[in-house]
Amino acid sequence: MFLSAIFFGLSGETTIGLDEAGINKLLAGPVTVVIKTGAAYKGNISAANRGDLRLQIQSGGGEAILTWQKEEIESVIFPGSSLISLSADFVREGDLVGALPLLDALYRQRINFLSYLSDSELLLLTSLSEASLQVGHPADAIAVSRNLLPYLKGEPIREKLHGFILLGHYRLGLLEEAKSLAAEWIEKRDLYGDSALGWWIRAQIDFEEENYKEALWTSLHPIVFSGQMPMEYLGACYAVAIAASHELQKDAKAGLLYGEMQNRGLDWPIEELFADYRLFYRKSTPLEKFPDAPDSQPNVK
Amino acid sequence: MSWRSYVCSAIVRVIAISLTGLLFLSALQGQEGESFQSLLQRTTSAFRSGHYEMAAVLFDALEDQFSEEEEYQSENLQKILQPMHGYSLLRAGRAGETAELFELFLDKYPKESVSREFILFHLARAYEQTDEMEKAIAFYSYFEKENPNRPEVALAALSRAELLKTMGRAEESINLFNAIYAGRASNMVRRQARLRALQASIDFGELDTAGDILLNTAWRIDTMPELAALAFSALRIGDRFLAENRYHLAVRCYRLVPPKKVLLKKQRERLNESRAMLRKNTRLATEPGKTLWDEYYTNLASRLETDLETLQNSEDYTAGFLVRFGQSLLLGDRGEEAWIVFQSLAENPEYKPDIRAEAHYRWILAARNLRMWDEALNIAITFQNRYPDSSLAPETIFLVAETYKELHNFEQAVSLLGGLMESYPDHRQWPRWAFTRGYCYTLDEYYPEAREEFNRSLQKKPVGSLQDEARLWHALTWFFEKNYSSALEELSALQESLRGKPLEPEVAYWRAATFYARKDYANALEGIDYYLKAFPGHQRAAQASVLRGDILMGQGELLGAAVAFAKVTPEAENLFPYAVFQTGKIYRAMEEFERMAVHFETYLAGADLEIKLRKSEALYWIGWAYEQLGQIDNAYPVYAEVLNTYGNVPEASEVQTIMKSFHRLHEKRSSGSAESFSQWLVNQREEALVEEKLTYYSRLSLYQADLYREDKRLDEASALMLETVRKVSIDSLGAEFLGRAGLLLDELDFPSAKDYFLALVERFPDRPERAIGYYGLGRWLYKNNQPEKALAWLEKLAEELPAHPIAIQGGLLQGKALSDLGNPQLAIERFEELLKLKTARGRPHAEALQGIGQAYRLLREPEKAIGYYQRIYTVYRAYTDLVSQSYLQSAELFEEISQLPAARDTLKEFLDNPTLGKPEERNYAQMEMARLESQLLTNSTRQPEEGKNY
Repeated sequence: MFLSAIFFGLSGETTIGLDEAGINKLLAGPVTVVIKTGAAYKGNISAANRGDLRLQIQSGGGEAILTWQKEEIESVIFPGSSLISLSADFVREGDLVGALPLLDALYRQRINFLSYLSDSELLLLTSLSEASLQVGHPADAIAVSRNLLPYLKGEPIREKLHGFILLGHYRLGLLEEAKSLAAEWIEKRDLYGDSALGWWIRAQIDFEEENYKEALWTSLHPIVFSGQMPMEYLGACYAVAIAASHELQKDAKAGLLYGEMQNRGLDWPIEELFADYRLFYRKSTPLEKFPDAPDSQPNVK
Repeated sequence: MSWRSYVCSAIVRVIAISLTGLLFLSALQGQEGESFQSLLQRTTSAFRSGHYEMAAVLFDALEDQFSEEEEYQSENLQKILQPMHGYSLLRAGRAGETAELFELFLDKYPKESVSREFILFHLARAYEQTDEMEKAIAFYSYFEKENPNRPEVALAALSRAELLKTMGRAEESINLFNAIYAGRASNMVRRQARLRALQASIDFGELDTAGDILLNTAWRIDTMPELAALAFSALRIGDRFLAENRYHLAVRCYRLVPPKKVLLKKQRERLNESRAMLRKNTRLATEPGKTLWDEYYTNLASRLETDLETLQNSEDYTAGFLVRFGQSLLLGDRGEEAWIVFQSLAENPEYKPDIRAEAHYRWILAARNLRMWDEALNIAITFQNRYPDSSLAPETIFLVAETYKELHNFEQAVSLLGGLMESYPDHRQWPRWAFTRGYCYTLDEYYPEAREEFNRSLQKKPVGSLQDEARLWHALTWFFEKNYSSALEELSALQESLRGKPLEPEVAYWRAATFYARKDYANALEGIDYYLKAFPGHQRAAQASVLRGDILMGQGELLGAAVAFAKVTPEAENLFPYAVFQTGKIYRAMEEFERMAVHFETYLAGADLEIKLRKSEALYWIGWAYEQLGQIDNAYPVYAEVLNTYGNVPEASEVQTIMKSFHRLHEKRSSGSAESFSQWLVNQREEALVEEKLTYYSRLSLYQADLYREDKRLDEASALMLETVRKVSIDSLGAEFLGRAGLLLDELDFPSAKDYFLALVERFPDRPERAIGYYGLGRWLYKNNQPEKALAWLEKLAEELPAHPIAIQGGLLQGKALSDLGNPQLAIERFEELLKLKTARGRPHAEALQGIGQAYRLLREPEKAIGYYQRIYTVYRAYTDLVSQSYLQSAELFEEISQLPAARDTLKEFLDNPTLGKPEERNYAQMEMARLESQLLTNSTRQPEEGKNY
């Protein structure tokens, strides 16, 4: 599939020493369906949908098809469960790039049976969206997120996936769609939430389209309502607000925001678009000039 | 060995003793018949399982029943049992007995090291519970000194600091809390100590210290347990900073305050985390100092529970806090952020109406802070609709009026303020409203009304800084009205009464300016010299230098004036180029052309020159000066540079004049082989088009069109202008082209003419070419049947630019519009003004006469009307169209007053001149004359008529 090529690369091996064939080998083979009565059956799934599942089993030298309603099934055990814990380890360590080939393989193996996956398996697969964004494959992130969304129940993880979809659209350059998704995101989220993604994307697009005034106003919303609780993309919002203020010839405001951003220990985003603005404010407006700069504060007694 | 290990091992050892000494211990029985061993087992079991109350009773029983027994008295056993006994008593709430027991223990076993630390710590605890603070502090200190490397030292220090705080020893307690924070304890304990330092600082009123602590600590609010305590501390310090006008610091504090619902949620999470921590700690039974840490986490959880309960039961602080947060942003000049906060409050139905109203009011202030006047107005109007009965209603109406004032809609402002003053006659702000109303009247040039309002303000409140301003503005209305005597009278009185007050320099300046306005240069000079000497740093210093220069120019002291102008520096912004150009004017008058050239060259070379608009003008004067000196070779490149540098800058002025000079010099310099000017013009236009220098292209085209016009090639001129209009967007056009193109388009009835006039007026509000914009808009509106609106533009033209050539056309149109609006008397006055102007001689005079005739006709004064028409066909015979119309009008009027022979003779005179009238006018005249003759014939058959002579 799409992602595999990157991770198998020239050597054909992943960072865990398994090549694609090795992973596929681990994932090949029959599945085990455990039904609620406790009985377990091994075979190949011949069909599965949200309503029922059909399993093709070997029986007395021949083959038989067993069918169960979804409610009758306790769990479906796919081969290669060791890869689940291995990829979960990668995710836990924050190494999404390392986890990606495994997650990709697991996702491909289970894509048609998502309604039979456990919550923890589904949750793990959401990391594939994030990993895809990280390696610059926003379209894959969107596809995976959209596929997983119908099966996920928890609001936080659903919000996260909607965030991946939004970010994916922006990264793909589908700006109109991104704008509309960002507007939806903003509408649904609490002002005091833990992410400023929607505000940032909306402001960023406005900035790129040279609508500096809108960019400033939009980016200021999360800045105003953010406290000391961590908020994703807050630094990016500051950068847009600073750059937009600069473009609107509000240098004092830009300087004040820059000082505040420093004071709050927020990182400047890596986007090249903003590099010059950072240089400008770092060079031309020393921190002491701003009332919010740490140096201007009295010392601790 | 740690005291915790000690307690554990003690239990083990007790059990061991019980087992090994079973033989002789079994012989010991209690009063109730229970053996020592059995009672001991029960006691230690109760202790081990944490049933301290029971354990304490059992220890007492052991003491009561077996104190005389040798085994019980064994030193080894006592060293084990006494600490357990004391601790049980402490936990059972019998701290006094613990203290007594432990003091005895320390006396008895001063060198006992195993249980000493345990004893010291809990002895301190016991004294703490019996309110013997000094003793408690002393024992905590012993514990800390004797066990400096134990993690529990931080807990002892925390307890000691709390005691110092309870005892009111502010500095010691805060310092100790801070020392714990700076020490090696766990992050959680350190931050807790820091929080206690913060709270102690607040409790002791050491708010500066509290501010330092709050803002210079990395609180890790995402993990720290006591969020509510921090939030309330931050709220309190934020309020303090706000009250002290330290807005940026207030904002920083308020950022540590989450809204109540968020705080509740987070605080619940932290409580659960602390409980989990406690459970985890309990499971790790072998951890040293476990009991103390158990206590620590238990206390923490209990404090969090209390905080949470208090928070749950307290009134929601969120809205009030957000108002103050928004206010800090607003006063910290962060208008956009303040707007966002206030709007979110004002439009959130979850908040109470009074808070929403207050936020809404401040939202207007935020819009005003951002100078977003239209938005401010809309927000204010929404406020009035939503909260008509709010106590903030008068303030809001005042804000609306102020906003109208900023939008220059003075009429609305005046009307609103009038209503406000009538509705709230006793409001404390009434004098300010009256003052503002007077100010609006002043700006709208209704000076008597303005004075009345200033007087009303003064009557209501005669003393105060506002009243000083009212008096000054009262005097200035006379100045603006050109009634300099009254202005001087009041300003002189004010000079005395405001001596030493902030407005004294203003009065001094205006007094000198008034003397200057009435051409009393000697007093003006004395006044302005006094001002400059007495108030050297005043805001009008630059203006005063300019005024001094103008005064000296008025006195003919040209060099002195130049010296005065030289004192105006580039920091004076617009005044600086004014002073520079006045100096240039002086050199020109003195025919010091070389100096003039150098002067403007120096001006242009100034590194700090920000005002670029007049650079082209300065260059022009340099070229002009060289030209006067006969240095054509010096002048020519200067002009060429202006065209090259500023030709494509829409804002640059005088480009057409420069082009003319350049043309002149080009002709002078060019020999037979050189490129002709017309060829140069063609080439330049082509080049400009290719290089997309469209502003320059439009200017070259305009110049070419003017050359066509001089050659009477009017159609070519118009065609070129239209072609240029098509090629160059309106935004790229300079003021001159906009005006000329607008007039042409209007003549051709293109509706887009209005866009050109509007662009001219909006983009070039300080340039004289805007006169064409005013006139054009007036003409366009007049043609589109909006004479009232047309009048407004024409009046603006007459007021702001009366000397502009188009102002004469404007005056004629103004007269017509006044007639159309049923004000023929005013129209006559306007036309009469034009008749006084030498510059309006010729056709404009004839048109004015025609206008007056028309106005008298409307006033039903035909005799007067005829007189004016007669002046046209007597004096202005060159304007045949006007003469023809006048003849026909006169004939009609003669008939109206029954002077039929005169009517007939007038028509005859018209017809006798073959150069007059269009065919249809001549046909009409012939028919009319035939009719009149026939009528006269009929009349003559009836009775002879006595006619009047005209």
